[in-house]
Amino acid sequence: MRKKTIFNYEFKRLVSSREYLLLLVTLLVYCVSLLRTSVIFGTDYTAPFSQWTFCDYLSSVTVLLHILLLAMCAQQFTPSERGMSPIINAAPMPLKTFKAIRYGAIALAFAIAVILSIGICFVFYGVIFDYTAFGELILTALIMLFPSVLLVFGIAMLLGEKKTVLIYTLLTVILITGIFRIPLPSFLDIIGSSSILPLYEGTHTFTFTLPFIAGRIVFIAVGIGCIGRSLSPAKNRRKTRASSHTLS
Amino acid sequence: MNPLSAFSHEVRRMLRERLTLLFMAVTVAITVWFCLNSSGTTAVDAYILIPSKYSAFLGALLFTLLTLVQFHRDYRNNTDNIILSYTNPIFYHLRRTLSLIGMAAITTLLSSVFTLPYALIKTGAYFQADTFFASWYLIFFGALTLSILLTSGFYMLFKRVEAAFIIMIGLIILSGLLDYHRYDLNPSYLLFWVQTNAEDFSDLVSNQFQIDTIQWNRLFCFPVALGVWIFGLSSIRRYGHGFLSSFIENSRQIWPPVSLVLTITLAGICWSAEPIFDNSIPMDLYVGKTEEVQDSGTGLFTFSFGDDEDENTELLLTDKKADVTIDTDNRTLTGEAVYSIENLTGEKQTLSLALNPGYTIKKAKVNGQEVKAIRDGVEQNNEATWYIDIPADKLTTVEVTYGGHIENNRSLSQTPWSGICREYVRIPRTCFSPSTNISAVEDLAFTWSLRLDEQLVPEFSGSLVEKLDTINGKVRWSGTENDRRNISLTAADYHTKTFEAGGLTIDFIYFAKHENEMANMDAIKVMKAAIDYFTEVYGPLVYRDHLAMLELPATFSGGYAAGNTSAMDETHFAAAGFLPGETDNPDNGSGIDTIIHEIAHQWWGLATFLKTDDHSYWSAEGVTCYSTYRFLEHYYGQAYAKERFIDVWQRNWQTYENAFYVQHPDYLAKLSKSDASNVMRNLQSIGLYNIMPLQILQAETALGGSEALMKKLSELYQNNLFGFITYEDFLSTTGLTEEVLNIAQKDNL
Repeated sequence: MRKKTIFNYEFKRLVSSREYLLLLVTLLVYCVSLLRTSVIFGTDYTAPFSQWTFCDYLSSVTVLLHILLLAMCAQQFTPSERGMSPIINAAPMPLKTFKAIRYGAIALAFAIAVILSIGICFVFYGVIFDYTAFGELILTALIMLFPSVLLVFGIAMLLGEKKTVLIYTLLTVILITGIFRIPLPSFLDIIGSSSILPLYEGTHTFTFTLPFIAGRIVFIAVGIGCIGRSLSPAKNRRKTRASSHTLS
Repeated sequence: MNPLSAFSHEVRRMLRERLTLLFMAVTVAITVWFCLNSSGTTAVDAYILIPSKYSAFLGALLFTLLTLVQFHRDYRNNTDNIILSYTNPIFYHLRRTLSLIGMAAITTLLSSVFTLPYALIKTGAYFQADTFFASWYLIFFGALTLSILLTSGFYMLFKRVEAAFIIMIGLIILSGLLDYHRYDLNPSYLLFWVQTNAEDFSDLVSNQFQIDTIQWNRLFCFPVALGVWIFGLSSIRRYGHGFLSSFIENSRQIWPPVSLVLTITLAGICWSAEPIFDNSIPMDLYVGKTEEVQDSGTGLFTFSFGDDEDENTELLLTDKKADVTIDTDNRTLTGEAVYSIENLTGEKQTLSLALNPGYTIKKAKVNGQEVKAIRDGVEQNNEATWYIDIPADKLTTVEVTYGGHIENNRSLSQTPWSGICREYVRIPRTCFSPSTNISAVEDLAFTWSLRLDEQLVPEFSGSLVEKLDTINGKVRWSGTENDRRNISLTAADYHTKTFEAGGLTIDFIYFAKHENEMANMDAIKVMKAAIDYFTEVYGPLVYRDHLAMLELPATFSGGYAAGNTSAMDETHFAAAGFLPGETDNPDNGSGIDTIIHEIAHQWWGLATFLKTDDHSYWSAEGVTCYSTYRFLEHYYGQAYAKERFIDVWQRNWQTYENAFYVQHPDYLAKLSKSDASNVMRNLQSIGLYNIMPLQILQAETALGGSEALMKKLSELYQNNLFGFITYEDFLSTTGLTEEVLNIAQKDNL
């Protein structure tokens, strides 16, 4: 019951924040403009509802989604939040559990943004093209978004514990990569824009390249590792380091 | 402490802070990096404009962060209450903002220590001081200043560093996205607040038209940013009050709300009164009324209106005279036009005159009596219509005095191609004299004269002109047209080289600054070879005296053919492109293709008119592409031509065949009319430039070789001089059927 109360409180606090609402509105406006000006024509003459076009759409939206995610992560490390940590530490609930609840709230708030941005696309497909076979597209979205989101979230939470400014640095890096369309190798492509490269190289049947998939697997592993590490209290980590140092 | 010493104290404090110095150093390093690593279409583009635009993006981001750090420091250090208890918060934030702008100015000046000498060395004789100033001080420094004002404004407004940061990130992304969607959304150039929409700066002629857009962009963005800043300043929280109470408290000093109203008003005036573009309604809204007549071969489309259906047959134009003066100091055109009109009805009529929307009719007289000219509110295709009442008299003389600044067609693009400045004048047909839609006598003589600065050499797109006299540094040019169409002209410091080719005198008109390069490259040899080749295989061009090859500024980004002129922008005259002996790829700068393409248009598109239809991709472009391929095969060999043409056509044909909307044309019906039209336009382009040349190659095979087809094309050309040629004409001349050549069914769509 208490966990649920904390979860509800954290979730409401996130989704009712000005940053979240502002970014969500920006995201949705951007999604609509992409659908109207780009998706409707299909990427490189493919169908507007092809996996190629959908990947192109998702990679365009990913930058904003990452910014939204990082903004929510940064909210966890504001000076007032840090000021609250002695109270939270003194609470009977284990810190790990409390953090996990907060992560859950972030995940749900972020999932809403993802579902809305994908949902708006599916509604567009349904209304304009009578297309409703979304199974493959959902799988594509999971492969495109889930690993990179896990990685960015994990790194952000780990960095945020050290300094909030590091989250903004990460945000800036993602922003520059997105704005300047800096081409990243497939296995490092957190934005996902390299997923449509095979199309421009003459491949018409949709497939993710092996380096892209391999990169995604690494993202998941590193992301989970970072999240797991960020869940354990910093004090414990320092203790572990100190004891291992003494042993050696 | 007086305000000045408080300000200088704040500046010194910032300059002592390591973090501020780090931000400034990183920004300077970024400008150096972009200078060393940018590329562009011209030297000025690559070494001045592009580095300044990219630096503006990162600079705006860094100064957003620096502003937040500076504004948030008191709150972070819990010193805000102490500081604000002994100082006026409004002046405190004003000092801080001005100090940050000072940091931006120092950063820009430090950058200039590298960017200026680097630009001077790299651009050499092409260096233009105004272009450098506009790029680094208006674009780059402007972006830093705007980001400081906006960031501090949003911070003061929300009192939240995250909210201000996110809004600024959103605004920076928006500016980048506008650039990305500039061709499909055609957004206003005033909105590109970080980097502006300037592009393709010329090395050879003034970039004043583009600099105008940068200046107006800053003139609009600055009051907007200042408005946000004043609004933020007016809402600084006072005595623990909320937003509204603090705003009222701050408004006790009258100047913040007054300044806010003034800046908003100024921004509104700048938005509505910007003088570079007209308010022509978007193309989509009158797409049914237009007819696409010509493509430059590089994606630049021009449109003309089929005005026959709107022709007023109740009035008859028997004579027209125009006396025009171009004032390059004031950048205006003024003129007087006289129309002799026969009223065929015996009733009162209304004469409509179409003028560039930037012009006004200052005075109008009908049969010597001054009358009122009323302007229609609608602007369309870069023209505004004026109405003058005509009496029932059989013969009427209408005199109008008109003039003003040229406005460009907003509905096509937000790049200013036309205008007047001291070094360069570009007057399109809609800007010379008022045109009318009344019918005209067959032997109509439109006599005109033009006064233009003597240092400017004009090119009149095929009009026969005479140089009359020179008075007060202005040359008077005169000419006579045989139809009611206006003339268009391009004038700059041009040099002309004349050579003979295809039995014609060819004037190669190029920018004086290109003199040395033109001498070193073999441009004339290639052009002469092409004209001789096309004359030999198709037949001679039938012109009154000469053919003009005109060099345009890089802003045109392509070329066009009109009248007896083939024009292409300066980037097509890259030395490497004309020295086949010195490079493996003779068309290194992709210039020759376009030059030959535009030359070939003289035969196909200007001397003959290839009529498009609903069931094929027949147009001047297909035959012109094929002709370009044939000449370059003859000039550079089979391997080069195959790689550059046939392989590309086949690849694009495959793309067309696989295109979703080609395979499933039923989905087009699900789209709105304008979306479907945009889809069609992209596919149409592949059809015109790739499929039709392949079909002509198929015809070649069916006829037994290129020689046989060239003979047929020659027959087609000579039998239809200045006439229309349909796809059926082509088929009947070659003796082939549509089925033989049909590799793509257009009527599927």
